[in-house]
Amino acid sequence: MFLALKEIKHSKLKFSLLTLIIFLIIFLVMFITGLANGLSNDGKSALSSTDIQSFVLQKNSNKRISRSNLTTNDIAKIKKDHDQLVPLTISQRTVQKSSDKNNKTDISFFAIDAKSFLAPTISEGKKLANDNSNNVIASEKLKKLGYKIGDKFKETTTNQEFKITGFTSESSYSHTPVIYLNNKENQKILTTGINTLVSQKKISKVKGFDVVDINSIIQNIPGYSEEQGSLLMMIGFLFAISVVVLSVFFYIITLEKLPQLGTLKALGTSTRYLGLNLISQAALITIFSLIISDALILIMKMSLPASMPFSLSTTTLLGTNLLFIVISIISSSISLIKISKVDPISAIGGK
Amino acid sequence: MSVMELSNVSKSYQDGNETIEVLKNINLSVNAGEFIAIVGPSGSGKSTFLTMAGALLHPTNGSITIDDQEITSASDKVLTDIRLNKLGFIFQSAELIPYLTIIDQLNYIAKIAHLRDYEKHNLELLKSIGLQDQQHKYPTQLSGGQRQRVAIARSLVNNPKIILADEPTASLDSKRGFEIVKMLQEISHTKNKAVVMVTHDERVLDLVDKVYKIEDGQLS
Repeated sequence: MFLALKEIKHSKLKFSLLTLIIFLIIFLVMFITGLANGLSNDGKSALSSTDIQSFVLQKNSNKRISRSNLTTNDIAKIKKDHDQLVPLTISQRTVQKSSDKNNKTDISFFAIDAKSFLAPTISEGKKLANDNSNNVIASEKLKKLGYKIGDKFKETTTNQEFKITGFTSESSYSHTPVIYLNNKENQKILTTGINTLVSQKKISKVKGFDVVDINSIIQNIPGYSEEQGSLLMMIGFLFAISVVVLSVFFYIITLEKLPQLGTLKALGTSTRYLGLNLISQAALITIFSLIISDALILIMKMSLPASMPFSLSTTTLLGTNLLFIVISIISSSISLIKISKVDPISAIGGK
Repeated sequence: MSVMELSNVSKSYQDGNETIEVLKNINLSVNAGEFIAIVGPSGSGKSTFLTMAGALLHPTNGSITIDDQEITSASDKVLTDIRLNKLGFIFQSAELIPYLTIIDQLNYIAKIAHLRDYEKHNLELLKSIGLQDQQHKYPTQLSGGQRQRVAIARSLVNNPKIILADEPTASLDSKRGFEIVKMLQEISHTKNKAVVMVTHDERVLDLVDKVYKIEDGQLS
C-alpha cells in the first residue's frame, strides 16, 4: 500500500482522470440498472407483488392474459377440480376526472373478488368491498397525477362513473397505474367474460386449458421482455467496456513504469509486493469512483420526478459496487503478467 | 574476512547457433571493508559480472557465495531476499523512484525489508550525505550529484554486507564524480563494507584499494 498511495498522491492528475472515467461508467451502469428496475416494476408490479403462482388461461392464448376469455361454463369446469382459484380480469382503458374533461389518463382495471387474496393492501382510505357502490381502489401513482380520495372519474368508452375510496401501493401494470374494482362493478364496463383464474399454489395442469406460471406471464406482458432485454444488454456491454477500459489503463500505466519496476525488483522488491501494489491501486481508484457515483445516484434518486420510473434497492447498489471491485481486480490481471515478467537485470547497465 | 567469493564463474549466451562466452573463469574474493574497482571497455562483460555478483543472474558454470551463502543455483525468491538483506545497489543514473520523496526512498527499503524503528536511522543517513533539509523533495527537484548521494544513502538502509555500484559517476562531472567515489571510500572503510564498483572512469581509481581489469570476459 505504501507505494500505491505515494504514487497516487504524486500523480494526482493521472489518477483523477482515471477515477473520472471509472466514475462515469459506474454512474451510467447504476443509472441504467435503476431505470431497468424501475421500468420492470412499472410493467409488472401489480402482478409480481401478489402471491399468484399460476394462471389458468383459455387454450391458445399465447400466455397473454388479454388473449384469454373464460366463459361461465369454463369457470364452472375449472372450479370443479380447483375450487381455490379466483378470477382476475385486466382491461386497459382510459379514464378522466369527472371534474376535469381535458386530462385523460391511461390505466389498467384489475377486476377481482374483494374477499380473495388479490384484494390490495390499503395505504389510505377504505378497503374494496364486493358491493355495487362503484367505489374503487387506485394505485398511489394516480395520487401523484392529482387524484384524491373521494374523486370521481369516468371510464371514457362507457362513460361509467367510479369513485376512489382508497389507495394502495404504487401498483402498476404495463406502465399504467392500476385501479382495483370488484367483478360486479366490472360488468358495467366489460363486454366479454373474465380473463383468467389465478392460484396462490402452483398448478401443473388443467384439462382443456393452458396453465402458465407467473414468470411466463410477466415475460409476455406486451413490451416487457423487449424493454428489459435491451436494457440488460446495455448493462452487460457497459460491464464489458469497463473491464476493457480499466485493463488498458492499468496496462499503459504499467508499461510506463517498466524500467522503475526493474529497479524496484533489483532493490529486493518481490513480484508479489508489486502485484498487490497494482491491485490495491486499482481497487482504491474503483472504491473512490464508487463513493462518488453512489452519492450522486442517491441524490438523483431523491430528486427525480415521480413520472420517471427509477428504482435501485440498496442490495442492487451494493451488489453493483462489489461487482465493480471484482472487475477492477480482474482488469489488473493482464498487467500482473507484465509485472511478473519484468527482469531486475534491466536495472544494471543503464538505459 | 571474505564476504563475496566467485570461483571459476563463467557465463555464456546462445546467439543463434553460436555460443558467446561473456565471462570466462572469473575468480574473485572481496573482503569486508575493501573497496574494489572493476574497469574495462564497454562490452567487456562488466555489466554481466555485476548482475551475477548482484544476485540477479545465475552463472553458467562456477559458484558464487555471498556472506557464506551459496547462491549459484538459488531460486528467484531466495535471490530477491539476498538482494534485499545482504546487498546495496547504486545504479548508473541513481534510478530513484520518481514519486517518492527523498526520505521515502529510504523508508521504502526499510519497509520491504521489515526493519523496525527505521525513521531515525534513515534521517541520520540523510544527514550524513548532507541532504536532511531536502528530505521532502522529489528526485526531480535535486541535482544529479544529490540524486546519486540519495542512491548511496538508499543502498545503506538495509545495512548490507556488500555495496555494488554500477558506473556511479557516469552521469556526473569530474568534481561531483570524485565526491561520490570519495563517499563510497569512506563508507567502505568506516562502516566496514565491501564495495564493488564497476567503472570506466580512470580519474577515480586512486581512491580504491584494488583495481581489477576485465577484458574479453577475463578478469586480471
